[in-house]
Amino acid sequence: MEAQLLSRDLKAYLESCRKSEGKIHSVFKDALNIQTANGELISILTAGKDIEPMSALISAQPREMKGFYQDDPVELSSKGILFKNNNKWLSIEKSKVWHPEISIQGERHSIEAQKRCVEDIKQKLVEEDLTIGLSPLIHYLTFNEGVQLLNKDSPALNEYCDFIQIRLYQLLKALNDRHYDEALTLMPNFVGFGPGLTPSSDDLLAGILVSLVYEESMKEASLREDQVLVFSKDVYEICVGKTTSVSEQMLKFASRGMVSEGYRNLIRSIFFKDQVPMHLRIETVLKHGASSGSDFLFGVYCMNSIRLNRLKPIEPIPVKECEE
Amino acid sequence: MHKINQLFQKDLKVINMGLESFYKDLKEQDVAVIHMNWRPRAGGNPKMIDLLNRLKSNK
Amino acid sequence: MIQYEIRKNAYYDSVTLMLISKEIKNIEGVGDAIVGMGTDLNKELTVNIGLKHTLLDAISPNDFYIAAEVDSDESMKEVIESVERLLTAKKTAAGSDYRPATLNSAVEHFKEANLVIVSIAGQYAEEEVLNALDHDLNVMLFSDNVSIEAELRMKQKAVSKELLMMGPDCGTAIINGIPLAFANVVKKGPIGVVGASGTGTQEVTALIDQLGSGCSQVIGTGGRDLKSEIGGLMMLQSIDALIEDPETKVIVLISKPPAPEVAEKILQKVKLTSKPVVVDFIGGNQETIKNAGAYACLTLEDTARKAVALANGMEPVDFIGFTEDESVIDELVQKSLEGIKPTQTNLRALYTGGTLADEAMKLLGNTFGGIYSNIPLSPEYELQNLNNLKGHVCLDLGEDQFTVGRPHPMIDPSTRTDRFKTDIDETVAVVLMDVVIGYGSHENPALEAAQSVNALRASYDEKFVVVASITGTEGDPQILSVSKATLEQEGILVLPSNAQAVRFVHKLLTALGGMKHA
Repeated sequence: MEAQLLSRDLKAYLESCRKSEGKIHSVFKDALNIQTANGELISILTAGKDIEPMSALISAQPREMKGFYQDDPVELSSKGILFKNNNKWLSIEKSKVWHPEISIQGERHSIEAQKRCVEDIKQKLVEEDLTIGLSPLIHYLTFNEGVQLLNKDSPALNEYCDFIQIRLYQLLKALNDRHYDEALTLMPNFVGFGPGLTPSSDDLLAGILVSLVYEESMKEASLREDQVLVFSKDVYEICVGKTTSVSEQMLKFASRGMVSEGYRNLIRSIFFKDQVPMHLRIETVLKHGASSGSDFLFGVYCMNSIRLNRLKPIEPIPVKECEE
Repeated sequence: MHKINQLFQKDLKVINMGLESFYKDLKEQDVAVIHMNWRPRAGGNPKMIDLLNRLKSNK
Repeated sequence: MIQYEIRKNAYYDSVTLMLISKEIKNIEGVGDAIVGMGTDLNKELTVNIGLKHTLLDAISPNDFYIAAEVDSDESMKEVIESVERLLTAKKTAAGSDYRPATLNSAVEHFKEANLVIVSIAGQYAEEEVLNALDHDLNVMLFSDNVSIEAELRMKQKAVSKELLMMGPDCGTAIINGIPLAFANVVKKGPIGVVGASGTGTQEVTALIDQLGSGCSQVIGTGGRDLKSEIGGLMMLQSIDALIEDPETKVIVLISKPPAPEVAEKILQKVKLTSKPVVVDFIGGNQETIKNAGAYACLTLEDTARKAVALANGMEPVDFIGFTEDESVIDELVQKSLEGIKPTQTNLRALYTGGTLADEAMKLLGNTFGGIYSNIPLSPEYELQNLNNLKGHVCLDLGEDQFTVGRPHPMIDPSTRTDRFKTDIDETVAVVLMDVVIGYGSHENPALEAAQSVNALRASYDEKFVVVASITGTEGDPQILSVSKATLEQEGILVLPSNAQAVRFVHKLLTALGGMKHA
């Protein structure tokens, strides 16, 4: 097997190992995860999947991925990965490199253009009329007068939405008011919630965090708020142990603004001019998991709505009449 | 319009319950089809089926 | 009672988890259920919806669990089995596509579905079909061994919901140009067909294609639709649909002779349309059909030819001859019989298609001292001993006595291959068979037939005249012309239709009889 594309952080990791032991953590129909000796997860993804931090995209089709089982021993080295039980060898020598870091190069969108992109996301989520995940809550939240939670006669919510809606509202309100400490205290009651290997609330959180990191990174140095990046990092620390290991790893990277290629393209599409139309970016994201994509998108929508509605035009200073 | 005539206007979208060969033939013709992994209720046990039926009518 | 199923350190992708969740909730005896990973918040929700259990504390975020309210241990067992099936199914090589275990999950997963093909064991069919109709799905019921009472219930429901319920024992349909179950690839065209007979429908529609025309829709009704107990429910509804269908210009009805009051109802409906209707009540009363303003038919081929003529705006005429010039046929008859010994006097006809065998019997009639059969024209010609054949014999190998514990001979030609060895001996002069190709049939029935004939010729000094017809089209996977070539290479005489093949055999037997007396 050959890796066609390799994330730079994985490449660096493998190049630094002599011969390191690991094991297969989990097997899926089109991917598998390897757990290294220090608990890090490495994803091996088949053709057609989206590359992400600490992952390798191989040329094989899902149906060729046979004979891999949970707990199978694995040997990692600078040349590649050896699966000891079925003797399959994954070579990384000929692979191209993918950079997982945040990318803020490009022609920036005006505020209006960004607002239009965010509106596109809302439209798409409403159109999709999803009944799974947390995105149905999009009908219950407004952002133009601060964050508000409504109880309209909207599509029936699923039990997950019903349960978490107040907590989500509280979290979004805290973020809107920039009360980051308060937001942190709300995390234990929010993280790891929902069906799915990456629970819905974690995907939503990832959408929020990536949006925050991008916004912050694009500010002029003098306007930056350190507390945002610290907050993001702290969110991840709180999540450790409170959710699945796969989701933990996802949040670790998301808190630094690092996500899969498809997700990154979407975020960038809000901030920068993009050759590819927004609706295609959105569609790519929606294909992820059962509701991972839509939950992430919902998080992106919420956080970007908050920040864009905060950017009100500056009031002109009233001119006082001079007293004679 | 009679419902059957509505069917005539649409693309066939098939659920196959039973012989896998029918499913394969349809897939070969690029028809939208899913194959069921059908099993009789309660493993085909007539006593269990009877019990389940009575439960159903009590619901 | 609340029961849990826990799998520690188990990781399933989200799509699978969602499917498991849906599947479980559709199981009988399961009330509320929650499926997911054991995070604190998921556990909190679990308690909130009333599914608390002492096991909850022991579950950690990397553990997968199912909490369900069930009415019995058996229901929980079914839950666990259902999960197993879903989890193993996704790992199989077959493209890892989702295979739902219940119709309800199938419908949830595939919301746009509009047709279900049911081919499960007959005793389970009614329940599934009624459920399908409740979901507004059209049904093709291939299963047999379904009671006539059940058939009535299913069809009544279907009619009230304006849905198709094709069957039971419906083997052939072509809806929107798609061959379903045992059917041929037939060009699209203006002829709409409603058939209560499988291979009869195949023969007619394949010939329509061969004659350069095509079909709009081919609806099967199952073999018993025109019995008095059912009253022609599906055929009547289908005729309505074809009358309303703008693509259909000519309507064809095919069935064994219906119960008289049912025939009456059908013909009454036929009078209501200005579209020409061709009716083949195979061997039934021609007068009543003509009186209703429809076109009566003499054979399946005649049905096809009349329909095509009408589709082309021409006046239909009876077809009782051959495609080739009669003189050419007669010459072929003489030539074929050269070298046949006086001891060779018998016909053995081995059919896989029931209606085709029936047509053969009817066309050969009670001539030649009677034809023995498992589907005889009169009781005195019922074969007593299927293993010791004497005289002329015509067998329908698709009948129950030949298909106990084996697939239908259209799918598995070995039944006929075996019968070649037992049924044909040195007293036989003429062998007649049908070769049915298309979807559902064996991969290469022509090759199997040719090989049987080859083996036969190798076993005997005697020469045999082997006659066949192919029910199929160029569009079929086995390709009509290729199948024909395969048969002809083995010295088999291929006639363009079953009717012509049987007529040819009639001429052969007449000539043989003449030779005997000479």
